[in-house]
Amino acid sequence: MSDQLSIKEVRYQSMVLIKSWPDSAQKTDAILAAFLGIDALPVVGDFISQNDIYFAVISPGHFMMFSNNELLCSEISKLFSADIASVVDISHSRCGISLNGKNSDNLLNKGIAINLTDDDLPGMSVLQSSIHSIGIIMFKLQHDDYLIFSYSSFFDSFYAWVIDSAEEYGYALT
Amino acid sequence: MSGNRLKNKGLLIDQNKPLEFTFDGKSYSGFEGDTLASAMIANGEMMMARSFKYHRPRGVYSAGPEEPNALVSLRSDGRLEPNCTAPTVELYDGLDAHSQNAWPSLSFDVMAINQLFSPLLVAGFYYKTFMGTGQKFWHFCEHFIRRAAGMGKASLDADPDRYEKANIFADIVIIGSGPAGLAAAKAAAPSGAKILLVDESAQFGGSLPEEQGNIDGYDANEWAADTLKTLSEIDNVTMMSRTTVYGYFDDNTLGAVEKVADHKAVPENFEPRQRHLKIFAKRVIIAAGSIERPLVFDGNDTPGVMLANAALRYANRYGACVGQNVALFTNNDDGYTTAHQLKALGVNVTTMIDAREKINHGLCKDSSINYITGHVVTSANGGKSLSSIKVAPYDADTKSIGPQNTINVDALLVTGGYTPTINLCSQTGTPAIFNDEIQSFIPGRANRPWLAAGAIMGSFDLKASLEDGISAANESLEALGLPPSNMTALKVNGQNPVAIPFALTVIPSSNKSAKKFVDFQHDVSVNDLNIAHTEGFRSVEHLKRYTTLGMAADQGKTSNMNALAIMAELRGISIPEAGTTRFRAPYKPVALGTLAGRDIGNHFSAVRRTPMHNWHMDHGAEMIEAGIWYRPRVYKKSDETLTDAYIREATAVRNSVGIVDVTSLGKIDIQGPDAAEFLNRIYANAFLKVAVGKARYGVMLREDGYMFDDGTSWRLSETQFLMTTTTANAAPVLSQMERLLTLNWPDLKVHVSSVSDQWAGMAVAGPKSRDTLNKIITDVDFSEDGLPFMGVTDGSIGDMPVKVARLSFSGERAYEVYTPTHFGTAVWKEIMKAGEAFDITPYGTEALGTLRIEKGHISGPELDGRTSMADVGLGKMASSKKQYVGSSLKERSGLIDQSRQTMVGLISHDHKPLKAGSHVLNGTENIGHVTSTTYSPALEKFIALALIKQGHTQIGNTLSATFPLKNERNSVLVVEPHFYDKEGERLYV
Repeated sequence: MSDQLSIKEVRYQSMVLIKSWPDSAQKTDAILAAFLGIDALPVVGDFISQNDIYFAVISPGHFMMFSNNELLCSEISKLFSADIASVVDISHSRCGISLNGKNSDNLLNKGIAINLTDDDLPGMSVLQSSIHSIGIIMFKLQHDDYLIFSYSSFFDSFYAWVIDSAEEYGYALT
Repeated sequence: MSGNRLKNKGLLIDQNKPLEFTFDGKSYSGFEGDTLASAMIANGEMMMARSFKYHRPRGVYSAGPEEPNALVSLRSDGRLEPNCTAPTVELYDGLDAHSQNAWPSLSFDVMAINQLFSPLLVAGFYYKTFMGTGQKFWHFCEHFIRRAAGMGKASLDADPDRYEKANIFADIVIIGSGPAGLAAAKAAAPSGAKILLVDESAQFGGSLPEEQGNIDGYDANEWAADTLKTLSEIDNVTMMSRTTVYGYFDDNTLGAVEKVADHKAVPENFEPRQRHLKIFAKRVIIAAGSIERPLVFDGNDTPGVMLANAALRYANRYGACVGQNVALFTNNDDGYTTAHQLKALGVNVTTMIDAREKINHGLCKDSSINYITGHVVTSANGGKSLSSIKVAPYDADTKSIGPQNTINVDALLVTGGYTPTINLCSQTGTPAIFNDEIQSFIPGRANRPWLAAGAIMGSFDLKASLEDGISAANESLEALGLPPSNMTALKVNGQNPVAIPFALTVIPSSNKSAKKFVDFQHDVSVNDLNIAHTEGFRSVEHLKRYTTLGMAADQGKTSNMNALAIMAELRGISIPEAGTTRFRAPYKPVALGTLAGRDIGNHFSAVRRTPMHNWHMDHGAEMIEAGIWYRPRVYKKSDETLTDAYIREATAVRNSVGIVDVTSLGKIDIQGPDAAEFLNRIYANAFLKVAVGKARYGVMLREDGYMFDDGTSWRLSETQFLMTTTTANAAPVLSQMERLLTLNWPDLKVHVSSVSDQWAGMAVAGPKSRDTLNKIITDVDFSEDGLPFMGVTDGSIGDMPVKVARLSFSGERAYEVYTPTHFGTAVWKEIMKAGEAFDITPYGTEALGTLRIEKGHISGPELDGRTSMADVGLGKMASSKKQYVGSSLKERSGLIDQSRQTMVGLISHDHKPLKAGSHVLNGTENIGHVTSTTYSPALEKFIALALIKQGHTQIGNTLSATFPLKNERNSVLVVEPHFYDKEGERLYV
């Protein structure tokens, strides 16, 4: 069934929010681009994945990074003084699942009123929404392949909803 | 013919696959592909129901969702589903169907006695009988009336089946798969646009199986099959049968229900019975077709009278013959086609009655049929089944009838023309416009991205309908920026004649007590309309509500046009002048289970759990919902009551040490160069000079000066604070802060982020709290100087980092320990282990409440949105040296009025528990209410906090606390709200 629907709990060592001020946006962008080793940051709603770091642009001047590098938060914190950007450690604040397979869109569209087709939401897109009244942030890696995070305290409910919704299709826990 | 089944007929049934089913416990047989209605007809059972009000016998009247009469209940126990229309119920082996609204049986229904009282039970009966002075009489009668009237009954058992929901998206949604819908889909499909074709029937094709014309050289039904095959092979086309679009909502959103497994006795494992769909469409093509219109004459509801096209469908699709001796009553040419098609299928149509005097005699081409023109059917006779009709000459000018003749028939088919199914278009708010030719309303100019095509627009001939579909597809493609279809107009030959009805509103009768029904489902007759008109309810809106016409589950699909015509005639105006009402969703009833979906049982609502949840459960915690958080209320030991448990827990905190999970408190990270300035603006007390490593209790006001929330904010660095809020106000406080920063103070460099889920929190309270923590937390100096009251510092337990703040809600020496969420349980366990020597006691929200009430600390019941800081004794905290949110309006006269209710303590004189919410009486004057209550182990008394008028002046007085709902009254002594350790010495024990 795994080609139809595969569900896996994921947990990253570090998750960080970075928010710049309006007058320090360019400087923040430059610092982050240098840290990531890229010429320019992705546009709002996109993310990149490289060197075990996922970097997403949530909204203008508002970024999210996560990685299995447990030192990521402290490394990022050192990059910014308080008048350039704020850095918030949310490593324990989110729990996530990896969801992939042919029925992943069908499952997600039980709860999300967003068109998930590749034309409307191409791979490497990030969006925030809610499922079962639970706020989520969703990373579309590629066709039928997602990472979805909810707040930790909601995760039991979120996971229970995912499993219940998946029953219709059959699924594999990996 | 075998019985009422036409041998070797029926496009949709497989006569080699018999099925067994029951109706009212009696066994019947049908075939795979049958509907319940077709199978019952084939079994010779025309009567299937009793009417809503008069309990008149009723039979199947139509072949689709417009069915007004044959409402049945399906299945039993939890799977029971009432008010299903028999023509749309697909037969399966073992189907268990029941009639409704009849007792003791459908055949002998006691409440049929209502027919004798029908002259009394007319429109307005309830208003006239029970309103005003009749209220008491209504209360007496209500029970009996509600039992006597009505539809099916819902089951009280839980439905074991699943109901799912889905959001789906399409470029073009095509509603209806008749000629216009299929042509539109075929034209639009090659464009690559995502097409969704939906049809409420189990089969696609709409009216095409009964269409006699050829399309591009194909038989119409073959063309439909070929088109469907083509569409099914195109990736961008999705076809959904058994799917009813019931509502057209804002932003081109459609509500629909897919009957996934209603055609099965029991759904497969985890298969939903029904699925609710929210369809997001860029463009919509509504090709919903039309519904045949009844004719209004005496006895027109007798079982055996039905719509002509329905009879044709039963014969053509299911091989079910509606009678052995059939008459057809028409006012348009289409009736002739129907009669001849029926004859060709083997149905014995003997007589045709046409209200029109002059017709094209070429229509009368079957010599075995007795064609009677210029006549009308004045009555249909028979009780539970039709036995005869009366026919009389009709003078259209005077609208009168001549001498009547009786003709013996067992089925009378009627056709009064067709009414476009404009429901969805109407739901969008588009006013309907009247089409004189078809004597009906059609959709007006679309006010949203939708188009109507085919019969719904009055395009009743096949060629026009197909062209309408192609045109709608092209217009939709153009709107999407796609090239038009290269599909050319289809060649059509030999199509059915168009049904142009002859205006025939109400057929006169010589019977003074004639029952001429307009709305079958709500038993609304012509007489009711006359009464409404006589009594001044002449607007269509008033007519609808006074008579309830069109307000039944069928939304008046077969009745509205006739009612409008009758009302227009009564008023002496035209139908468009009379106007029409606006249809509202749902077009068809939607089961509550479908709307609920999986939001039931454990999934009723999302809940929040702390990381220590499982530990609490493993240690006997009785959980309580705090908002959507689950928190331990008490940890009961064997044989303990709730009160025993919280008294034990609170006592343990006062005497030694306790630990409570405070993870649910809101936690907000506040960062930026202006963080202190920001807090100074949102808290009523000063925050600019809070030192790094210190926490401060703060109170926030709303703009109107009332208290909003309280909590502590910890200064972690010059530019960073960690704010805690109450559990309930975590989100509102964050929202308020974001709003202020965005709109009021965009110049402040401050970012706020929720970190409520980042930290697990536990309060360790009691005289042994320091000793407990000192055993395991490293890097923290727990001396008075090292960690003074309101001090904050970082430490660790093994490899696990912790933040320790010396705060107290209990009044005892206490520490709040925060650790990253995933370490929560491990840290909790370490503290429990360290506290074993002091008999550490986990405590819940009840003991937490006890401890804070003893100390007179406020919480949610006191922060009720109506209290000021002064009301709860915090007035002196508010700064007078700065501006902050609410600072101006907190000084308004209403909030500084000396007669306001202020917080006091109460002690029960009678040593009886007090109830929160009790009224506090001074003599007979109600001067306030009890907010929080508990038994105080420290005082060994039942105590409470209360808000009472001029509370400070009542100290020392004895008042009454009453709880009328339980007829309780207690004598209470008014005291200061600080019951315990007013000087705060316990903080340093």
